[in-house]
Amino acid sequence: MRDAGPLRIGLKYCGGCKPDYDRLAVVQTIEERLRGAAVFVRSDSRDLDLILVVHGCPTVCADLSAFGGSTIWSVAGPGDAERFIAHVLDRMQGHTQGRTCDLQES
Amino acid sequence: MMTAEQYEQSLRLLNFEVYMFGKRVENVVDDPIIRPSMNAVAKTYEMAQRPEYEDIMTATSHITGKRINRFTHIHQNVGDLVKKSKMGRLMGRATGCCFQRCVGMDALNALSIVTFDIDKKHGTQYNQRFIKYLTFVQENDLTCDGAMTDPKGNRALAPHQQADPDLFLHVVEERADGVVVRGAKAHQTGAVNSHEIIVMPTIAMRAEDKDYAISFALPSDAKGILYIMGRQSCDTRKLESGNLDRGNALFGGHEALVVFDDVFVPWERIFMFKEYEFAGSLVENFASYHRQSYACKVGVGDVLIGAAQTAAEYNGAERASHVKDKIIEMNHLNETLYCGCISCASEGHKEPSGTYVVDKLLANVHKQNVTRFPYEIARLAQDIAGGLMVTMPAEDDFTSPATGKWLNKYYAGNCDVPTMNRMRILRLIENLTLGTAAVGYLTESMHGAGSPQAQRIMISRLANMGEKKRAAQKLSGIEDA
Ligand SMILES: Cc1cc2nc3c(=O)[nH]c(=O)nc-3n(C[C@H](O)[C@H](O)[C@H](O)COP(=O)(O)OP(=O)(O)OC[C@H]3O[C@@H](n4cnc5c(N)ncnc54)[C@H](O)[C@@H]3O)c2cc1C
Repeated sequence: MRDAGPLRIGLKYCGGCKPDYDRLAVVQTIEERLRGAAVFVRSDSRDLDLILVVHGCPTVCADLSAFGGSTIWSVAGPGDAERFIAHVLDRMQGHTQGRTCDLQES
Repeated sequence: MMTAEQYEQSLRLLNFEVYMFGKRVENVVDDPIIRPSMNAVAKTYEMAQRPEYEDIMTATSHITGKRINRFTHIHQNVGDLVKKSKMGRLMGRATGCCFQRCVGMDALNALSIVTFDIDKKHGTQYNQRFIKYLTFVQENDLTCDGAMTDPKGNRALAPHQQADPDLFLHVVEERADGVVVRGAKAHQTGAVNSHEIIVMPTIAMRAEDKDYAISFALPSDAKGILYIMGRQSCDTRKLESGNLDRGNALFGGHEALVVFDDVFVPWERIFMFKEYEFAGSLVENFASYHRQSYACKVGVGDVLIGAAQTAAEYNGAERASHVKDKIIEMNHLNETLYCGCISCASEGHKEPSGTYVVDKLLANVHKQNVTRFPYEIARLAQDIAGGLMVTMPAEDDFTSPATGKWLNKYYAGNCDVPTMNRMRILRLIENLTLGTAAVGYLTESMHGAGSPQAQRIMISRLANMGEKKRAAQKLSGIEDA
């Protein structure tokens, strides 16, 4: 079980060749809404709780080969981002209530 | 990898001999005509550093295992080829012009294949030399000019038949430590933004032309190399104050005639020497990769379509059904181009050297479409823009107390939009379809990586006619099909 601090989330982007939405704006929203619950760092950082992969479209082509064994959560649009935020908040709440953190890839 | 700033600094260390408007250019990097093209190459360095683009803009070197700029990468799988196409679109959209760095990448990949094949036949050591050179390029994150096109003189004659033997670059002296070459390469994209120049023959050759069958790489400021800059339509607008009339305020491209005035090339930088039977293979591999590289025009097309839509909105015409339909047509053509560059990459295969190469038939079909569709997209953009894109007065007239009020009054469109914004988007459309960027978006689409007929020859060679005939004959009931 991880300690009660904020989640360390590694941010990985696809290359953004023809994104359907503004990936940076969505990440900014995620960061703001999860302030206190999570800190966002580069995906090659150490001691990550999970990797958040931000894809620009449903092709979801980002290279994830470096993340074998890590917990990965993919978003490919603002709707996915909302689900991610809700999931993290829910799990963090569960954690403070004594449940374990079990973030899984969606 | 270098940052954009480090790239700019690295160019300042080069001692180029560059001429423009009849004079030597003393400070190439800061020259106002050349600098926007430097900005476009610098963008390939900047975007490789940004997390939101690195998945496309960088790759893992198969030699060192290090993270490198994709423009120095040798494609190791189909995924690499697909990412190359995506990178072209991404960069084209980010700069709205030719960002110049693809041609060197294509030269490197073609040489990785052909040096291996020459060695296999002749027992030479070219591939080993090439890998050493490639490592140097990757480790220093260099920009390379891919120099294939000779001036060619009389197109009906082979290199050795030309009245002036220098119309194709050739060997004039062999020494113990290397060779001396003479000739020129025309239309060289990004030449004075490049650290290195990689020379390749222009055409397939026979034994009589063996002195012309040479490929090598040199530092771009090597002794005896000089550059004469090409002009672009509207280029001197970059010398004016303000930036409205440039259309693209930040970026541009450039081409130059590169003269090799008896230039020494050491053996360790030579990757083909008189193996004339491989000249055609080098041309074909380079051309196939480079025809794929016209993925960049899809990104520039994105910019032009965005500009046309914006112009329509600023004019208050965006809801007209024919305008909507024209935007649909522009997108249809642009995405059809994207289909071509993605499909030739997706259908790529591994060569004996280990390098992946695109499907050559599909790459040629893609480039053939590129020789046409940007012209139609440009025509539709001009239709939507209206005549003001070519009759608009200068920026100074908009700021002049005598004329500014009239221009702001009479050139207003949708009253929610400042008149100057309307002018800006129209100038961008002018830039892309008639100005400096039309060099890249239109005429380069026509001739770059080979004129249309070059692709048609390849299509006729590569289309599997036997299989098509067999299919037809079988279905029609012909017995022995
Ligand atoms: C903007 C731009 C950027 C470029 N960048 C580069 C670069 O970075 N590196 C590089 O190496 N090259 C570059 N090129 C060169 C490009 O590959 C050539 O323009 C192309 O191969 C055509 O050659 P050409 O311009 O000499 O035209 P030509 O060869 O003169 O062709 C003109 C016409 O004549 C026809 N023709 C020519 N020869 C024959 C023949 N023997 N038989 C029948 N028909 C013939 C052609 O099909 C065409 O229709 C660039 C070109 C442009 C326009």
